Amino acid sequence: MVPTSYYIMLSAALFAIGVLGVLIRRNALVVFMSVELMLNAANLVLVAFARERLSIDGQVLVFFVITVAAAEVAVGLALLVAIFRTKHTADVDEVSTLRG
Amino acid sequence: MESLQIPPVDLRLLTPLLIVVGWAGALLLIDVFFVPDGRKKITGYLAIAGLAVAGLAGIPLWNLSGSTFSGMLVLDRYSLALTWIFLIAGALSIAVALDYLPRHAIEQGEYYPLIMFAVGGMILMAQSADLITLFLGIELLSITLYILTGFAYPRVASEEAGMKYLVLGAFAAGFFVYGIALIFGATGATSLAGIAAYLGRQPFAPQEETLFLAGASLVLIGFSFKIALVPFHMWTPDVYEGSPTPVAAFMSVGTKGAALAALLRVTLALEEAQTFWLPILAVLAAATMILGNLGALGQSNLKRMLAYSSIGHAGYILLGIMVAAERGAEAFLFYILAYTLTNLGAFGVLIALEQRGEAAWSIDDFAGLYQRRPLLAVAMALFMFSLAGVPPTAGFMGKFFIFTAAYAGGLGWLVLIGVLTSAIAAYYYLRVVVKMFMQEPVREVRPELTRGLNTEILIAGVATLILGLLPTPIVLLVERSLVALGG
Amino acid sequence: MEWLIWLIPLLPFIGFVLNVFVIRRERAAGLVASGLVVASFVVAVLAIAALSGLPEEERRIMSVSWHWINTGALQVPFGIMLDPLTAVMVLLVTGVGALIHVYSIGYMHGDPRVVRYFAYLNLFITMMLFLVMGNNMLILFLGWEGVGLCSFLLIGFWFERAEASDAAVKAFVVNRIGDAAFILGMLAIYASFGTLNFYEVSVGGQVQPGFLERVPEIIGQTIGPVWQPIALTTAISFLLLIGATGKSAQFPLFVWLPDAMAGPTPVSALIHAATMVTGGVYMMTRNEALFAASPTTQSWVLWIGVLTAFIAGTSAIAQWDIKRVLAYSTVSQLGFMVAACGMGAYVAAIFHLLTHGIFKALLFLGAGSVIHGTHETQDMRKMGGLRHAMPTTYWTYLVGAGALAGIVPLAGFWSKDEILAHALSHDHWPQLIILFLTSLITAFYMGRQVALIFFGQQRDSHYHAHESGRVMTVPLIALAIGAIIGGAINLPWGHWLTDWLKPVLHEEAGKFNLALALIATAGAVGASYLGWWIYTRNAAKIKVGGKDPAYRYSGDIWDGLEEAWYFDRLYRRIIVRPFQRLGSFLASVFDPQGIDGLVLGVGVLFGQAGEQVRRFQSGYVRTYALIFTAGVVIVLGFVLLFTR
Repeated sequence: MVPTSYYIMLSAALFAIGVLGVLIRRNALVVFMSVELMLNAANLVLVAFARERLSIDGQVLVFFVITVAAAEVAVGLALLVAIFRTKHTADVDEVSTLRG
Repeated sequence: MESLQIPPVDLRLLTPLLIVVGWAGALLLIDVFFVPDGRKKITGYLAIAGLAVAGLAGIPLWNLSGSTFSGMLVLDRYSLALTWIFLIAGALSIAVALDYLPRHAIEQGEYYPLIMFAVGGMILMAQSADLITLFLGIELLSITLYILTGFAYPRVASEEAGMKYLVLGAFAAGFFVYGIALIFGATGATSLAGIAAYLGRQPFAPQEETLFLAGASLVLIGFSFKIALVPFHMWTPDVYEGSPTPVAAFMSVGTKGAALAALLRVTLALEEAQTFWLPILAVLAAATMILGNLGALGQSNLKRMLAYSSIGHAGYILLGIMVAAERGAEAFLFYILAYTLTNLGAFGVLIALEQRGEAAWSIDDFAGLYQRRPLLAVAMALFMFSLAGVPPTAGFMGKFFIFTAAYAGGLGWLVLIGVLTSAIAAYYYLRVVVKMFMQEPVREVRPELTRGLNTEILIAGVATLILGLLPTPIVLLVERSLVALGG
Repeated sequence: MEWLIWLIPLLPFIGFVLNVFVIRRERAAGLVASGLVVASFVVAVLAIAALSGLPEEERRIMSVSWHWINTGALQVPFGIMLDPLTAVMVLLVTGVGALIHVYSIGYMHGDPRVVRYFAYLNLFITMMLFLVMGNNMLILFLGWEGVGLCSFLLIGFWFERAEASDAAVKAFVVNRIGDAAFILGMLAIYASFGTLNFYEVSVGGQVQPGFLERVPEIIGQTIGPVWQPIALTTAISFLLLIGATGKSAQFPLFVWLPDAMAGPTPVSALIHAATMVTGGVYMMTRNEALFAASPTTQSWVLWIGVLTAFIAGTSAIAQWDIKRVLAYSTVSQLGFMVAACGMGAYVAAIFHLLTHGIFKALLFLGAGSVIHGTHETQDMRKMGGLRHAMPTTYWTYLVGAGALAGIVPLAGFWSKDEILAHALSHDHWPQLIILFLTSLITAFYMGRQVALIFFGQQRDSHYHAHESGRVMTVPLIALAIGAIIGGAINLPWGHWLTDWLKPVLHEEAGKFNLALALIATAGAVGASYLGWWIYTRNAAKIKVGGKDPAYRYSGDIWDGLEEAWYFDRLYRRIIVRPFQRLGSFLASVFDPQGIDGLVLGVGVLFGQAGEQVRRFQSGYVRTYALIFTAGVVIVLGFVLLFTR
């Protein structure tokens, strides 16, 4: 059996990649994907610990997270389409009129 | 692995929540099939009715308490009191939107059920005794708010605000979930009771402690984002400015209140971890009070000013949470109530001034308001003084309660920062009063007062005064509501 | 029957409500506002008559209307009281207030916002009454903030003039500094005693203790870091002192008061001379037990008072604006009162507060009458010779100036003498000398002012000076009578006020020192004559843009015989020029750049800090995420490195 710590390391790496993706990428779609990566990293930890602890709570939460992530992306894409219609861009740096 | 068991479920305990969410779902359909375009106000009235019914349904629960869904959700007087605050906030936000939406040509029937879903999310947060349901509540609230923020399509600012809120919100949610996962890994539980039980079994293995501390920090950061604590506050000004004003009003009191309420429950349940929470919270509170108020100083856009001011106020409320364990949480609950009513009132005035198609949020638009609308100006002055903490208003009482509790609880240096920053804050609130009472109008702004708006401002104004002059009955009510928390 | 004392603050409040919501016409506004304040005065007189009928140790009428705050830990009743100290304050506030209301009917006639004016004025009286009548710190604070608000609204009343709204904001902001300290002091009192009541109150059957009676309990306790412990009494009283420096315009927070003269003149008379600015002195007197427990704070109080008296006195010499002279003079006289508090001579402080309230109100109203009669002229260089055109104003002003200068037997002489005598008998020598010098300066600038306004020839012929109407002169005469006989309430051989205040302040009558009184009188007469003489002789040379005679002498020194007089040169060399220099130096250091600059500088600093906060708000969502991540790193690092 693969030790739990391996899973944690993998998920930490995934999470870091996700964070970096949000920080670095300018395309809104890629930003969404990076956020998904962060959530999935969390899911991985949950499942790993659930397996180790023989507790079902972790898996339950994973289901909720997946659902929430889907809803979030749905709203995000809707917003993206709305912005694309007026601004013709999916670059998050282009939407920066509100400031100060 | 254990076999799946269906836990005993007592739906009675969730009556208000179920009514709100169920009604909202039904209303979505009713709106589509039965309410004709142009008369969407009907949906709004139905939504207010739903919130009222939910509030009434809560009354018989006052003497009830208990938990259900294997202890994931609890009902106690604390959650019930918060439920009522949230219902009031929701109803008032709908009331001000009734005429706002058609005037800005963004009237869609979904608005009202969405607000109801958000209120449902808030109630869920107040009733959660488990990180899983807490996460669900936060997300239910957040996702509806993303939609509501971007509701003013095709106004680009609104879409931009929605996008920013969503990206950062999802980002924060990532940290939050990861935190829950780490806590789960360390303690093997997601319920507050389970975690507390684990903490009671000290000492624990160093590896588990690291996991727990990291996880708890990440959860705290998730809360900080929702409450808008510095440095996790960056979204607030932009989102407030871009979103439709009634939504900003709702957000300023709703999200903050719900997140703070949940945070209070978590910190009280995990009292064992106090030595860990307190230093971080202290630093966050100090930074929030200072930067929030400084940020508001230079704002000439009133919506942004209120956004920064709401950041500053979160810092004060945090003081109440920090001493809640030993000094009681009355101060905290009272402040939330006072702040909710005052801020809703201030936003109501802002909405009254907002004409179709152009934003009248510049402070110059308030110039000479006293000449044109004396009562409106007096009401706005009242709200500003309450936010600034001038007696005899609700805001003063709230600050007084918080500061006395914090001072007696040994947070002298934070109280010092609080008093000094609220002295700074007086300056920018006062500027609005100066504009209204001591300047001639700069440009023609015709405030439009409708019935919903009038009612909202009236309720907020009267409540602001009553809470300042006769706080005792409310405090007693609040005290009683806290029995369950052991506060 | 105790509830009847509620009428005192409530009657003006009714006036406020009526003026805001009902009354629309000028005449009605003035009549209602004045009538209700007069009624409040009458009730106060009756209540105080009843009070004096009680045995001495029972002279404290309390009335609690409801539990303002009633939680387990904290209990504050919404209650007011009437005791000897409050009684004299109430008489001053309602009495002088009523006269000023009447005067305002004439002064504000024709102003488009006169109804609003009377509403503010009534609200002010209400709040001032709460300030002096509150039976706990929180009610006092309610009044404290309320009068600050009214003062702010009234300073900025003529907001068309840019300086008015600037001055209003400045007053409010500077006062907030004091208020912040006051709040902290209040919290410290609560934390130390568990109550905010001054004295024991019984509310609904339960008895709540008062903190003033329990001060001995905390003597010896300290707070603050271990390496620098501070006595608790010092901490509390020092915070309250800072509060008082804001409200009572003391060094270094006095900068707002001269600017506050941008408000209508009756407002300056009522708020910025007679009542509100004395709030700090009242508060310190009320909390006498706390201050007395801390010698450290007391010496601060004393020095702040003395310094303020001197700095403001010298600044008053160099002013040309009729009201600014009086404003600096007010700051200076408040310094006398604060110094008296610092010496522990609280009766003398209250005595001076009362007489000053009367004669300074008289002077301001006289100045208002002058301004009114010369068509809004405030520059004394454009006046001169007005005694013929305005005889009533002239005579009453003379009385007020004499009282301020300390000329026997006018009211100001007795009260000032009591302060000086106390300093002498308690060996406060350096302070005595400075205060004595200041009283000479006071006499000098009043002589100067009277000469500039009323003597010589009219230097500007753009207006036709006329006496004011009866509605304005009658209050002047009433106040002048008060300024003449006001000293009688505490003559050295009668000391009625000392006896009256004994239940509160427990003070023995001070010793009268004939030598000091004689020297002070001679000095006052001499200095005011000097001021009068110099500025009458040179009256014709004074013009706008020209220099003060005291500067111009050196060039003309050989020209005329008068100026070559030995006495003249002596005066110039030894007295006037150094003081003029010092005065204008202090005025320039402390007013525009120095303290004022400091206060404004702090504001600018905060403003710039605010700009920095805003610069981070770049609008780029990725920047926000980056800052968020930085926060995460900091929090995680902090937790994992330090909290284990």
